[in-house]
Amino acid sequence: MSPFSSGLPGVLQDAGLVLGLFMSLTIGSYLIRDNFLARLGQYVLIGAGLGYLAVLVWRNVLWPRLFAPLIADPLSWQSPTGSDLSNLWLPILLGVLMWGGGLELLRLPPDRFAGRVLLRLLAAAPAAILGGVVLGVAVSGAVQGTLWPLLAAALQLPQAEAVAAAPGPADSGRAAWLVRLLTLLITGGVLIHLQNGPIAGEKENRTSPSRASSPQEADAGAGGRPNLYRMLILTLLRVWEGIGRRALWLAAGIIFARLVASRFSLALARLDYLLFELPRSDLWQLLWALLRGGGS
Amino acid sequence: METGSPLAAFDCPHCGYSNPAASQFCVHCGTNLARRQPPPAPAGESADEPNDLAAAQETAPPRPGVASEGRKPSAGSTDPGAPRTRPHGSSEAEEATGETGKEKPEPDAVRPGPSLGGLGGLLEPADPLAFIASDAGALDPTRDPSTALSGELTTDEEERRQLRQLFSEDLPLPVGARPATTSDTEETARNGNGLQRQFWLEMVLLLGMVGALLWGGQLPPGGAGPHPLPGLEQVHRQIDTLPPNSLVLVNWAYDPATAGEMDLVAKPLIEHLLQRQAKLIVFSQLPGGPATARRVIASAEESLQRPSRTQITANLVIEAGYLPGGAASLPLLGVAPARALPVDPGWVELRERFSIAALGETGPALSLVIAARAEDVRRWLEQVQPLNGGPVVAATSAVAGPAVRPYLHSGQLAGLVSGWDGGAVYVRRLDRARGAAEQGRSLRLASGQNWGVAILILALLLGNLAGLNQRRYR
Repeated sequence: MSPFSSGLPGVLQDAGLVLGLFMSLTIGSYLIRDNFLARLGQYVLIGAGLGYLAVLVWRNVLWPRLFAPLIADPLSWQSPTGSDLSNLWLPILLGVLMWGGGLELLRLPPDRFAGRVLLRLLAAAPAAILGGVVLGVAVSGAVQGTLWPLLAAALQLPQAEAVAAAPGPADSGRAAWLVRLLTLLITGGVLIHLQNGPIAGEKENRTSPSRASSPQEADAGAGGRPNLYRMLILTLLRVWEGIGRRALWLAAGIIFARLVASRFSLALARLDYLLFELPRSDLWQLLWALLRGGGS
Repeated sequence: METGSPLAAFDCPHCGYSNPAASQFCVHCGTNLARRQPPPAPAGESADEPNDLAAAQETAPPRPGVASEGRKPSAGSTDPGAPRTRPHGSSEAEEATGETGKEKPEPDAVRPGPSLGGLGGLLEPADPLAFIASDAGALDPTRDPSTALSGELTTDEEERRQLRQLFSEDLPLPVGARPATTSDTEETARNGNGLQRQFWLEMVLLLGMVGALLWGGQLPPGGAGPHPLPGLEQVHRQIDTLPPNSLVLVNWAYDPATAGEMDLVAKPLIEHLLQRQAKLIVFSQLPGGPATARRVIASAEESLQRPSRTQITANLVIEAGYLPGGAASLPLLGVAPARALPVDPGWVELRERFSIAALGETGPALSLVIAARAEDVRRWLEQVQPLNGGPVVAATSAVAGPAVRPYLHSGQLAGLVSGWDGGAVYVRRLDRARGAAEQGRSLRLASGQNWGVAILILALLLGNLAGLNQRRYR
């Protein structure tokens, strides 16, 4: 177990509850207006969070996985092998380069800090590696984990790696075609709406008034394609876009409903903690007894 | 030239996020902000800014802390179609000198053509319909090709921007990053007086919830409880069929910020896993995750009502700690979990080391992702699940549920529990008696949800009626 698992004495746990009450009230006072206590609560929270993160990274990552193997006794099981040495020294080197690039944040005057440009150039190497790796991982992951499996599921292509879902009812095959058609219809409609908005005739008329003296002429276009063909295409696109727009708002309504449920849960949990859990703690009982005793 | 304070910011026209003034791209969605800003003043109009500097600002990235003159948004615009790009940190005195006047976009200014403007599906919209509707199409020199790229948002674009913002928002914004509201009377008149009553609505909601908590738990439980959404039964089946000592890899992707909701979802699943004597290897990519996991697991053990709970923890739960690196560190977890897990050998007992080594050889019998954001489930399904191929079940917040559900239908997720309602239904399926305190708390929370939703629906109805009435009198 980690050193963080040792737990706290009961009194300290109760003190945490009372401190939580204080922090909740200070930050909650933002509901009334932006005030000093609300800001103080935020700053304490951010500072404590950053301090905790620093300790966690040192004790959970930097020391056990980087520094301890480097300085370990060569005969110890913790000592690194040859390949591990490159795995350990390379991160240190890149990290130091990154820290060097961050020296600029110390606000040193440029004329007294001649190597600033060099440090920035050197820091670009780890930043580029980091950015490239993240981008590569994200793009390949999006293709193998989202784009292809969801597309395959929509088209019902066989997926070797897909986990077998629960078997559906007997007539699910027939319903699947309807679902696929709806998926295609709604996805296309939403894409058309997000790409072009309420489209077609209005935008066309708005952008090219000088090239057509009448809507019929505008529909005909310079190439003289038949009116019927163009009007049919535009009408279909308008209808499709309208379906997409309504589906989008329907989905937005569903997400909003779940968002409300989610936020209500958070608020209720905090209120429940203040109204029921906190008064049960020993420290609160003690404080309450002291207050009542002092008042009498 | 120094313009405004370094803290100056403006809202992204694509997602509404408040960005620092020197940003070229939106921090949240990656939209090219430089293109959305008005072009720099023409040469000769500004006496204190050389022409070459203005040209350089078009091409060179901005220096930290120095806001680009050409990118500074216009303030105080009352045009409903104008972009909401106000410098929050700009001084009033600066505006009074009329500096903003010379930053208005010139109609004849050269605008950039359509190009790739960002990542993640945020490409600037082209206009393929122009090729259908007109033979000349977008290649016509008389047509303005950058209608969608100019700094002006039409009403339709604004509506779509709001939609994108709604779909992209998973977590509450921190207080300092709340989208700026304005006291402009014209905007208030446009949006209606309801915005001024937001404070009272919040107070009524708060009082309603307090009332529900105080008195809702004393009411007799009646009516229909929460309904199970699809996916819950599959989760129960997956866990229920686990043989004892199965290795379960748990990605704890929430921290105290969302614990109020997520604890209700996570605790029943952890309890069920402990009931089945599964061996949990718990890690988190959030700094506050391991501590949150420890607290919830301890609480789940208490619910088990067994004599030796400490022994259960020592045998069944391995704390793998904090795994930094975000999505980039996940592929290694899929290929070689024993190497990727941030376990300090000094803290782990010998038999637990064998369990972790076995995880590398056989893979987990089940992966459980407990996430407040859909992003974390998606990352797992993109980076880990295709590599180890094991079954994955997810427990998410209510708002993340709809975004994750397509993965359930595609078969990538073997089960899904979302929201407080999912947690409440799952608790009822556990094979144990619930205490009076637990039942009372469940009843209180359900009452609070019902009262809150009722107040919100009432406010929506009254607001719409008031709006219709106001429109009739206009």
